Amino acid sequence: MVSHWIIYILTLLSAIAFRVAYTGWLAGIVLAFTALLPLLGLLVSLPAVLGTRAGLAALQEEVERGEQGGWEVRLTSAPGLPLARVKGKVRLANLFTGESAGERVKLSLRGQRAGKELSQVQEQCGLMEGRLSSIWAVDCLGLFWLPLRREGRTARLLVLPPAAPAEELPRQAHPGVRPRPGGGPGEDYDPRDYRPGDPLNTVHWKLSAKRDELIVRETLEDMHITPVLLFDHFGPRRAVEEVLGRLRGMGEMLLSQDRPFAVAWAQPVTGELRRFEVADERGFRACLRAALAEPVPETGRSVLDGAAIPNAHFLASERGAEG
Amino acid sequence: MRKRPVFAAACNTLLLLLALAAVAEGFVSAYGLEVVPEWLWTGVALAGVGFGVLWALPKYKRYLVPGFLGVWGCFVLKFWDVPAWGEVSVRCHVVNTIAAKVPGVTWLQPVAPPPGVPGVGEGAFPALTAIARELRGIQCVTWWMLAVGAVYALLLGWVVAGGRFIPGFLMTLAPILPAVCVTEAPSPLGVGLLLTVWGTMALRSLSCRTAGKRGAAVTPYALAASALAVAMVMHLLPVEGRTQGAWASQIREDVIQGAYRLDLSRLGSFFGRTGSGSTEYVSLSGNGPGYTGRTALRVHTDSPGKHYLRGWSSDVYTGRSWEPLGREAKEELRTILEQEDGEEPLLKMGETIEYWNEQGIRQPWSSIYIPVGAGEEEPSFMEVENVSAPGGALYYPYALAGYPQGVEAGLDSHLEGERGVYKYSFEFYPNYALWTDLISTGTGEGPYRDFVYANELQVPEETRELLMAWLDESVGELGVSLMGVRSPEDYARLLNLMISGDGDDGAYIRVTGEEYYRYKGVEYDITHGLPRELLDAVEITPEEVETYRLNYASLMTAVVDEVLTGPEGELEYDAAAPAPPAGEDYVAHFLETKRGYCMHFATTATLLLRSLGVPARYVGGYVVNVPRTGYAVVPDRAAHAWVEVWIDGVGWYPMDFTPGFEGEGTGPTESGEFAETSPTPEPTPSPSPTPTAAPTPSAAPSATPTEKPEEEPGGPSEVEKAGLSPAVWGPLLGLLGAVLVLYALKKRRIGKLRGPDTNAAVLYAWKLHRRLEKFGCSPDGRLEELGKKAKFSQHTLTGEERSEALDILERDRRRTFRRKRGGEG
Repeated sequence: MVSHWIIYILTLLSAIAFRVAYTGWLAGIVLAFTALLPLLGLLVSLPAVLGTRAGLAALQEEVERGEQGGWEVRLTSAPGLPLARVKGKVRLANLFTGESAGERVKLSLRGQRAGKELSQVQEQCGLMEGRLSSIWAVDCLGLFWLPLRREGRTARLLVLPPAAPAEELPRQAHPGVRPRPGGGPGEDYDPRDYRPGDPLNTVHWKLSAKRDELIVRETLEDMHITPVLLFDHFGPRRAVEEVLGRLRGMGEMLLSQDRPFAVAWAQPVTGELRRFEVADERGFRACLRAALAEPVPETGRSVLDGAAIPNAHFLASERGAEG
Repeated sequence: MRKRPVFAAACNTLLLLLALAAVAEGFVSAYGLEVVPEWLWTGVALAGVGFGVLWALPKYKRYLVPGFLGVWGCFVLKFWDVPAWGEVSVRCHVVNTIAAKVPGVTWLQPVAPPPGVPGVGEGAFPALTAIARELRGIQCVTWWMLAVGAVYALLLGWVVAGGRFIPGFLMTLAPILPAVCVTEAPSPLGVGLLLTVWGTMALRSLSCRTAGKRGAAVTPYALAASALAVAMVMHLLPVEGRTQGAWASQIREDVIQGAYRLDLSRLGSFFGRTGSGSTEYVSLSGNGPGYTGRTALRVHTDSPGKHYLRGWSSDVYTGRSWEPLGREAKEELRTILEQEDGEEPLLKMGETIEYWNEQGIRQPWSSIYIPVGAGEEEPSFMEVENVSAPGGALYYPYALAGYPQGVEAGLDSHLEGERGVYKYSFEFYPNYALWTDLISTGTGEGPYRDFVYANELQVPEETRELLMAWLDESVGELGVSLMGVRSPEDYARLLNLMISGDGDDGAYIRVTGEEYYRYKGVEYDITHGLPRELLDAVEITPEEVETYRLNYASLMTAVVDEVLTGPEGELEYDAAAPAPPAGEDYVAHFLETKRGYCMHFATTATLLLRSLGVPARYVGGYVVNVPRTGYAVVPDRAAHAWVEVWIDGVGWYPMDFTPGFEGEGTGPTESGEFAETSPTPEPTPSPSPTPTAAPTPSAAPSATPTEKPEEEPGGPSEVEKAGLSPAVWGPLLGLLGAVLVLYALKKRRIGKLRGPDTNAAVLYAWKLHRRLEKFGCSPDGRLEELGKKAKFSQHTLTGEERSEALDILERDRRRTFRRKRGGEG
């Protein structure tokens, strides 16, 4: 851009020198037109600038720590007019670690779409939030930078800890059986008196004939315990990442066994209990996203400090976190 | 997406059409050509559309371009006479456009009639023939424009299709540039179209460079904006006549005056000035003073009348120039002047000192002024403003009463002022005493006097002999009274002879019909003048020589004045005297032709006095006649040259040996201030002359064009020989050939990289990448790996691997050339 200004200033000086040396009308016209050129450049660039939208999107929704992940700055132009040079700044913040960084990006728009990828190996876990803080395009003479409209300011990328090998949950006594809600077929059943509203196909006709009153089969099912996985959301970052890795391993194991579970931690500052009921992969991702979206202080309030939670399994850090 | 190439092609075609129309209109109007409008504009339209489409075609260009050139060549060769005559006519118009503004350029006119038309005086009906000739001439001019314009449009189309601004700008400017250089503008329509085209090209060039063909999408916006801006500007500003604003006019004047004030004479005789002022080096090889009528100085004084304003003095004559002293002599002079600094001044340049005579009365005393009678005299003042007088020295009158503040002597040759200060006030004594009142006061002796005698008697030997021979021929009756005296020693001998007593042992004159003179026992025949051997026999002493030197100088200046300005010398003043031929001595040429101006007379007088033993030097400056009002504008015509003669005991005395030069100065006679209608010219549209040694080569000193001489008569063969010379064809064809070769090379490269053989393509990409390493590109490991795999392994590389290799090559190529251009803005 400096070179373009130098060229323009030299051109303008030449036009002025022409005006000084040439006494006819031509020199005045040339000088006036040369002086107007920057304004013309701005005007001609306006359709392209106004018709272009810039946005930032994550290349993936989630990656694992140590994998390549990143964002893409995208330009879309409705009129399809080119923009020779576009520059912008992307702010990247890791909500988990609290760190942030900036990246400069340069690209050009030749047609209706253009994109520039910012990709790197993700060394830290966390919910990465990228934001296009500024984006500018140069005018058609290369003299002025004009701001482009931005849409969809932030983009998020979840960097997950690698799943640690799943751990065995401690064995617990069989809690027994209970009537299955809604009935249905089953091996175990308990006879009881008919209540109005029971489906007729549950009537045990043989017993009913014997007793001369309606008896129905009430199907029974085993009662299961919903394990609650606890962890502390404070401490050295690596330790917390390791804990989350174990959480991820255990969670995936439970989900593979179709066993719902819950995850709970205490907000380190306020002590408020945060609990997520996880019944499927989507719910588990939401839980991990929430865990990785909160900053990790060095110290804080432990989940164990609150009321006792039944069926809880505390995931302690092997790096010396309080267990 | 498919519509985009069509849209880009349409934009480029429209721009090309406009550019061709602009150039055609500009060319025709700038040089006053007459054409057949229908033919011309049809040709422009066809060429614009045709070549716009041609350069938009993706792959047929390689066949169509040579095909077109072939057809075009055949056509031109078949009808060669017509465009050839047209070229002659166009050339004449271009030259005549320049000749109308630049003096010295010869007017041209085609002699041979256009092909197919009878010549002047031929044909049964001369009037009809003349009309037919004119019409045919117009047709020939139009045909020439179409023929040349076709190739021009082909090239311009390529430039426009590529979105290249600078080549496009230069190509469209070149046809009208000669006219613009002589301030002949095209028509407003032509100018408007050109500016629109240039603006459009400039506004879209960056987009085309980065986005390729897609960049042409900006063209409609750029075109609309440029056209609107041009229309607005041309509506608001005048489009005829001289319209230079006051600020521009002032800057122009300041620049021109500053350029005139420069002393470029040190750079060589090419830059020495002849007669337009005074410079350190004076070239004598010019044709004559090149006056422009420009104001050189402005003078304001309380002493009206004629004044000599002294600039530089020059000491060394070379035969073709006057030059300053050499370095060693300057060093010696500097030492002398420093040693005598603070003591009684040496009166080097017409200065004065004050002294008190025996009666205790303060009197100014100068090298040129001895007051007749006692009495105090107040100095006059003169304010001199240098407007555009050259040389870098101050111009000041005789005889200065002192130096103004900020003024210093440049050794003994000139005065220097402060940088950027061009106006000084001097106090001076204008009342020169006559020569006869001059008496020696015995001062001015010492090392400086010795220096003068050692350095200011220099004359080349051949010139000296020539001058003495000429003096002997020309001195006439005066020579009789000189009686062979040619040096101060001779003079002393003569005086000793004349005052010696009678008697056999002394010298006496005896007239006996034939005249003899006896001196010391020897009789000398003096019938035909004093013989040399008699003079040589007279004994003298050095003191006698010094005693008589003043009178001798007085006598010799009178002699030189008489022979140069009197009838005996037969010399005439002629301001248009031609320059001497190369190699010939300036004085020799003057004495041979007997015609010259102030420089001739001053040079000859200086050298003649030196040959006679009287130190003298050449001085340049201006002579001004200040009217009663005291204000005068000194034009460059008032430049003059005279001589300063060394008078022992007095110093340098100015003398003018040019007959009848009164000087020039204008100013109001009734009121004060400088005349409004001074000779200072208005900022003229013509190119201002730069300080050169040789002014216009024409004989006349004025700048008006002469009448149009005709070309050498040649008849039909003239037309045959005329037309585009090889000097034009050759480069044109060479350029075209180069373009085609480059295009072919590019297509070949693309073919190799995208061909069916992926291994060959990767190998070629690797080879191209290695060429980039010469420009600072680092080797790429992955590409090298792919290249080796392609070369040595039996695998056939996949399309993805080929794409990867090409991407690496393209990426590094762009990086390398971006780095070469200095990186992105």
